[in-house]
Amino acid sequence: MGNESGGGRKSDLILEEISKRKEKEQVVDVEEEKVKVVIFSLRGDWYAFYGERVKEILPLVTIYPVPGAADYIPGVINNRGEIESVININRFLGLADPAPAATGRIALAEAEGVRSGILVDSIEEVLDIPVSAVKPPLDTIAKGVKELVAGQFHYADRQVTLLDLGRIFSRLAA
Amino acid sequence: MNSNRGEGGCPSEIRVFTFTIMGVRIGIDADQVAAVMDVEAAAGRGLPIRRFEELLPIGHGPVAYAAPKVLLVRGTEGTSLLVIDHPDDLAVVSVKAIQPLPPVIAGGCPPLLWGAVAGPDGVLLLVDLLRV
Repeated sequence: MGNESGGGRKSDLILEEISKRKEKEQVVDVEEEKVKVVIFSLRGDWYAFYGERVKEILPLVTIYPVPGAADYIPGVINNRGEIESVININRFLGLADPAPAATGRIALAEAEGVRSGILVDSIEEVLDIPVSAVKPPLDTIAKGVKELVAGQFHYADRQVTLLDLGRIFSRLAA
Repeated sequence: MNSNRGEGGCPSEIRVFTFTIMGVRIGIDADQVAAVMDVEAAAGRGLPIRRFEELLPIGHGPVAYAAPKVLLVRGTEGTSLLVIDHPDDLAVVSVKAIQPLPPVIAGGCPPLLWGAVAGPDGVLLLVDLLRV
């Protein structure tokens, strides 16, 4: 079998084909719309917020209780002179309270003109995912929670529930 | 009355009487407090007397007072007595330092809780007894 054909050497043809394929893949990559997400854990399950909603990740600082506040609001924090509310999202979602741990963080988030800190057990990852990876929430999610879910996606062999902060804050501020 | 006034009649600072109950730091406009007295002295005044947590619930269980004092409060319906704990200070607070409560909290809280001040000692919650 010859090593050359009418168009040139076989190896050159193959390399040219590989090059074209890579270019095509790059074009696909550029065109694929991506969205930033912040993945965090609550009681061993993974959840996420859209990254554009999360302004800061804060360590677990002192939370000052506010008398008369709802059960899911443990209080306020002093964030460089700004007083921010803190939400125990576990209680809001009907989950068991977060276990006190050194990995605990407060995600300071903003949506619908409302800003608040949200207690999470740990921050797992901040990354870009294709928009197409976000699928509608499964029917197995409890109805009350499902209304607060923007979608679900897979990451690191785990199911991640993407929470809709706009809906959560709207419900909180109502 | 607070003497330093800014534009539109709003004071530039207020004097607040501060105290702590169950770890929560509270500040009341000093203009609403006529006197501070011991419980024994207050008992003989014949005025209605309330504990602070009757106005503003503190925690979920019974509220323990370590060093109770009684405020003689000037209200819209005359004077009354209010039992508080751990009187701390009479502090001057710049109005610029006062922040409204975050919206997530403001809607669900009793109306007498109207603002907060962040400081090195933590967060001071401001109470207006006329908003009860």
